[in-house]
Amino acid sequence: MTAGGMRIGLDHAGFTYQGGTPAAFDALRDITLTVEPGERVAITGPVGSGKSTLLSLLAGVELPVSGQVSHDGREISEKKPATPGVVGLAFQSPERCLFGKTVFDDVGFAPRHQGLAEPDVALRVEEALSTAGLDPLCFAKRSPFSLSTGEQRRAALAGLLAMRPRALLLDEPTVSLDPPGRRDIMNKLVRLNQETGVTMVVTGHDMDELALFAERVIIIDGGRLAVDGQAAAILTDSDLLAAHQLAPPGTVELCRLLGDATGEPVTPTLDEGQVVGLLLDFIERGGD
Amino acid sequence: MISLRNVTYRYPHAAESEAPALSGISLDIAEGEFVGLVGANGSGKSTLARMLNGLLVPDEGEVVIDGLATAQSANMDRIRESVGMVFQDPESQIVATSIEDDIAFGPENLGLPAEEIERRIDAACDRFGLQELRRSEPHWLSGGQKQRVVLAGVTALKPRALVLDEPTSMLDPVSQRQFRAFIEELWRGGATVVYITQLMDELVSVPRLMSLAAGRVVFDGPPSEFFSNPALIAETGLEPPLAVRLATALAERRRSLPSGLTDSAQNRPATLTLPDLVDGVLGR
Repeated sequence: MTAGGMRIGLDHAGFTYQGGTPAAFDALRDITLTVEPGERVAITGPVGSGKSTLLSLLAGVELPVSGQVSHDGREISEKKPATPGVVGLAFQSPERCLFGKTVFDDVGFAPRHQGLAEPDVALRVEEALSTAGLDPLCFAKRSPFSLSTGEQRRAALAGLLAMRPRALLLDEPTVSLDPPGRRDIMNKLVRLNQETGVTMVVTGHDMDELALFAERVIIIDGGRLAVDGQAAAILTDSDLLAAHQLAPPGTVELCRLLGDATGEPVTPTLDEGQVVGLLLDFIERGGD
Repeated sequence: MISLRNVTYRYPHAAESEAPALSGISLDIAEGEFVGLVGANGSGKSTLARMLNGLLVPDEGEVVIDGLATAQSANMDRIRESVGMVFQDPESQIVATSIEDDIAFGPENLGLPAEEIERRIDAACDRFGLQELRRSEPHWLSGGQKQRVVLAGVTALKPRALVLDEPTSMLDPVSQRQFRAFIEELWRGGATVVYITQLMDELVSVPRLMSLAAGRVVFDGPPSEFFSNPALIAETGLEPPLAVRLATALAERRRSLPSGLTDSAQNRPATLTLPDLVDGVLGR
């Protein structure tokens, strides 16, 4: 679907809202990071820490007030903006951006504006809807406004996929979805990433969900890059997460509770199967 | 306080072939109750929430708040003074150009004296960590901060009943817990609360849980009965909490389990939270 994922870099990037006014505040300060082609990165942190702003900078939608942003090594500036259609950015609640008379028109909007012939647009729409989990036969002709929240969220995602972007940046893509829907979206994103190599950056607060998705986790706190490392190491570190107002995945919390209750340290794990084995061990030892 | 009789509602843009958003719902919520409302996307939760303060009026049946039918538009001012509402999407309910003006909007419309309005703004900003931002323009805020502004605005109205439609979906876990504690404090002070969430862990301790599926109430009772019943959860299109999933997996792997883990009379898991599961496993 894509010509490989995009590398996105930030070099000492900072961003200020309402700059030059008494209400100015620094949303991000001195952020340096590189998202490698095909990586799956989760950005998390407390409310108001700068996660959404960071996504806008990575997309090249906002330009940093200090430092630089680059796409595949090319610096993005007002004179040389990001190439349209290469990065797909979904804001929070992207269903608000739906506008087409039909789901087909909405999802086909970007490919039509990329100059594709109508049969190719139809192919793109069909492919994007299927990938997002909406059956094209059932949904293409419906009004997007008659869909449920979960279906609208998928239609909005399909609208991005139809552009065949080389990077997908999604701001809290699972908010307001029911638990099976959240799990399904995360699993679909992982599969898409594995099949196409598209670079993905997702924000969120729910570590159980991010554990399904992320290879790498970045924690932003107070506008600064606080933590950047392997997902498995960060998501199993309850103390580190708590220091940034975050709660560990359920399995990790259970290991911590077990350790506290028995006085024996229990190595935290993200694997529910392993936790069941661990609990069985405790039950058998208790029965002796 | 809130009473629904045979409420059916179909959205104006819905196709004839589509099922109604709500179908023959009857329920009563007494003054001072705390009701959790759960259901898959598209089950009708938000539509039901909008019925509870007259934002939507049923096609069939009736909704009565404090003896006032929502179908009578003359009743609307009194109903909305009694029932405060927080929607999923904070963007759709911020009206003013600064945070403090937004919080003041409701109390001003109630005609409260200026000093009282100022007191309420101050208390709400303290409660929701907004003091530093109170003169900022709301559109610069993050999603989670906007959610806090909306919560501050609604609670500054001091309504007798609060209908909260996924109020914490954009908050970090610490802010979620703080908010939930605050709502429980209001409830203990006598407020009626209807709490909608997709976070199952937030619902395991509510006194009364209702579950919707395809526009109908499919469960109304204590959360322990709902969350320990995998078939019922599946019918609702949801997932059991982790503690229930793990207890179920243990029961599949081992014939006899410590007594605290299962409800042997009902043959189903008895632990809904992780601390309870740990106590059960360790036989405490």
